Amino acid sequence: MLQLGSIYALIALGYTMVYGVLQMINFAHGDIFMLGAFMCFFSLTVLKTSLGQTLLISMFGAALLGVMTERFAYRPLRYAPKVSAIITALGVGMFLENFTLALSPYPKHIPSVFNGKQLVMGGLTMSSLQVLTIVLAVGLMIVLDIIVFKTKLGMALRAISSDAAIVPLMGISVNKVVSMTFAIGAGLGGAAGTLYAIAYPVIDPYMGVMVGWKAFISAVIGGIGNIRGAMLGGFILGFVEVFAAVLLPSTYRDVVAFSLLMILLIYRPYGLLGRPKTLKV
Amino acid sequence: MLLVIDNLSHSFGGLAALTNISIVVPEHQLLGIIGPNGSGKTTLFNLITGMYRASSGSIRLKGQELVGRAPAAITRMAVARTFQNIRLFKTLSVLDNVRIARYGKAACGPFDTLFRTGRFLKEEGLIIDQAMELLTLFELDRYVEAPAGSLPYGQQRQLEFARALATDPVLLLLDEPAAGMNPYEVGKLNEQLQWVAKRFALTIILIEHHMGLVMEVCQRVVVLDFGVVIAEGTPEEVRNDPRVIDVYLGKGS
Amino acid sequence: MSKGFFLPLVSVLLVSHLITAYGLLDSYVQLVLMYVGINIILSVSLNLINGYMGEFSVGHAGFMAIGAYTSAILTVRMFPDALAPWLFPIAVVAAGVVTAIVGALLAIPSFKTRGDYLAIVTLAFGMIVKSVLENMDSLGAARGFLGISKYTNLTWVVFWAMAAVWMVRNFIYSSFGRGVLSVREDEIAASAAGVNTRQVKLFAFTLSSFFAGVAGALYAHLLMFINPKMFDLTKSTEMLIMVYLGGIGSIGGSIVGAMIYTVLLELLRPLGIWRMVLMPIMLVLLMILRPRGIMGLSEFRWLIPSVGVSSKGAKIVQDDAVGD
Repeated sequence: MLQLGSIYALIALGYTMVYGVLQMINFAHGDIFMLGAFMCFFSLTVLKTSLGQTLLISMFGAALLGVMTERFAYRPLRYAPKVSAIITALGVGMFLENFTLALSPYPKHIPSVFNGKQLVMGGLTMSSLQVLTIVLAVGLMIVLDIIVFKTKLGMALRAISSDAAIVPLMGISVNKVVSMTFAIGAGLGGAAGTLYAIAYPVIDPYMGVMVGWKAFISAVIGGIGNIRGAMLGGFILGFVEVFAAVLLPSTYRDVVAFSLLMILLIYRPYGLLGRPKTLKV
Repeated sequence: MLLVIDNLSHSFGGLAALTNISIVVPEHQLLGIIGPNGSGKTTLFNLITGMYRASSGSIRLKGQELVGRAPAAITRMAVARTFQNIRLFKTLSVLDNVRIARYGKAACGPFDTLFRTGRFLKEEGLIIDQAMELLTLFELDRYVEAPAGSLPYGQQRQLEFARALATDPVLLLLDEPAAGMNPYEVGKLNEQLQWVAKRFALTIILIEHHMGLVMEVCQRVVVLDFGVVIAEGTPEEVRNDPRVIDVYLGKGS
Repeated sequence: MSKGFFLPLVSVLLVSHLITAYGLLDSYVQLVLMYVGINIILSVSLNLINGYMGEFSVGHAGFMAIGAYTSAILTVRMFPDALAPWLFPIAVVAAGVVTAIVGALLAIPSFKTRGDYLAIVTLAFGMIVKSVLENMDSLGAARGFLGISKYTNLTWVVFWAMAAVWMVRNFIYSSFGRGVLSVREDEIAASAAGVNTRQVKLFAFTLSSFFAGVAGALYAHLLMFINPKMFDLTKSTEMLIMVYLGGIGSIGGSIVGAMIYTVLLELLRPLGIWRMVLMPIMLVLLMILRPRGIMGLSEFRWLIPSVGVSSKGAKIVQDDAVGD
């Protein structure tokens, strides 16, 4: 529950950060997550790396990929109508999926890295893998929170999301900040991919679609553009999905998750932590 | 009385914008509303037109309560307005801007539209003729096909004016129509307001910072300050009211 | 019906009927043409929401699914076998009506929510439709719905594609339909101009989903087999691509987009999986080079209705530019 939630939260951060800076839904982000999982597979099977090295490789690889998609696909469209950028993002996502599919037509199995060690903590039984996932995810989120709220880069990032037009006047390079945003967001997505692949070891090129949308929903539940909201949303969605699966046949999991989202959006259109834009006449 | 505003108050999250405003507007009057920036003039318009819902009090048009109605419903009750910062449908043509406002008067429904029934063709022809008539009156007829956003500033104001009139209003609310105009244009606006009011049998409430215009055009003036009515009367009376002089020139001058 | 559309309609229908009846065209070419037609219905109807209303609906495949399943239930389970081929048109209309009712319900959130958040509501809607279908054993669940007869032919597809184009055009170029565009431009100004924004949104959603349902019905009776996976996000994405490829804000764009996308996909078939790698690259390049799509903001002259002749004799021509 916490494990799934923390993975959603990690991916949701990528959506929310890019949205905060560019007001654009990066539909290709779910596929960056998928490639993170494939990089994990590659580095575990071909490079025979340790878990730590694997994580670093997939985070770095995903970050690089994120920066590249921004540089070559989104940047030329920064001042074009917003929908063009969204369609481009859909296109980039399709490209990443199908390119991966063309290179790797069959699902891949991740070798197991953990033997099923069980940890018992205050009556809760958790596998060491679950603990690792949660600890790593929470750790990454804390680092991100510090970056966003305590560093100069974070300040620039928040400045752009509150008023993009004025930022260049303050002597900040928007391109640099946007690149950094994509790098961080995609890096977190890569980490999520690795953690997910280890937990659910069969991976395929379309795995990013559903997980990506779910993460996106998490970002929306929390209030898109709001970084702490994305974390909160991820955990809420993970929680709801696992509970829905307990109460209903597991095939209803998606129905419940999406219905919840619809109801929430109708009653609280700006998410839990998002602030409504005031009507200005 | 056409419009009776009774004890109207509105606040934004605890911040009072208007407090216990009571204004009565008889038919065919040109009422001016003046006051410093932030005194609540535009808020008053937003309340009358249903853009905001009043915190308390009532606004009645010919005895019918407006508070609680949707903006479009209030427009159909013959209240039209313009905006301080012109709000046109910028990428649509000049004609479309007026046509859209005219549709509320058409006697054909969505399904007539879909199947282009005889009734639709007749009504649509009527809408276009009436729209063209208005555009001609406002000397915009040579721009019919141009996107509204491409017009020069003055013409955009005129178009917004024409669009408001296309809804067949009884009460017209104008929010700073003279903003950004030079003295010559203000003179023209002055004349225009007078003949438009007569020709369309309008009651007009005018928010304006341009004192010359207000003093010449309006029969009565209401002065707002910090959301409260501080003076009311003929332009002459208001001009000589010590409270108004205080507000505009500062105390002790 | 205006003269401008009646004559071409009859002649095109006649030609397509001859083609169907006498097999004048290769059956593969016919099939591609039918795909083109169905995709035109989908892109034109989606353009109403995404282009003219300025919202971003990602749930169009959900509407299509509802239409497909409704019509299939009717022809396979409800109609007597002997009459089913004759009642097929009724099944198509019924599919459209049922879908339109659902579409009207989906319009309700749009009264309060706009932009990205409405996009997510439509996305959630699409996902819910698919998941619910996957859980309905009586409809074959994830395995799909089998045994649908092939009632769709070129004549029907052409008829419905032209009906969709005609009606959406009638709507969009009318004073009532301009209300949809005014909501996109400035909702506050629209309501001040007396536009009943709720009615306009409701109508746009209803009309759009009606035709998505019709397209679904035609699709089901062309493929003779449907399953929930056919109507997933990929399908919605495909429709979005057709709309934006052609250019939003013009019906001509949606037609061109649907044609190019469908035909290109067929031409590239020999490439196998690499086709699906190439397509997105071309899409991204197109977006970068022509962010407003192939047609941009312009419209085919023949699509613009000629009623707008005022007493002054000025023919009214509208080009729909689209704001961001």
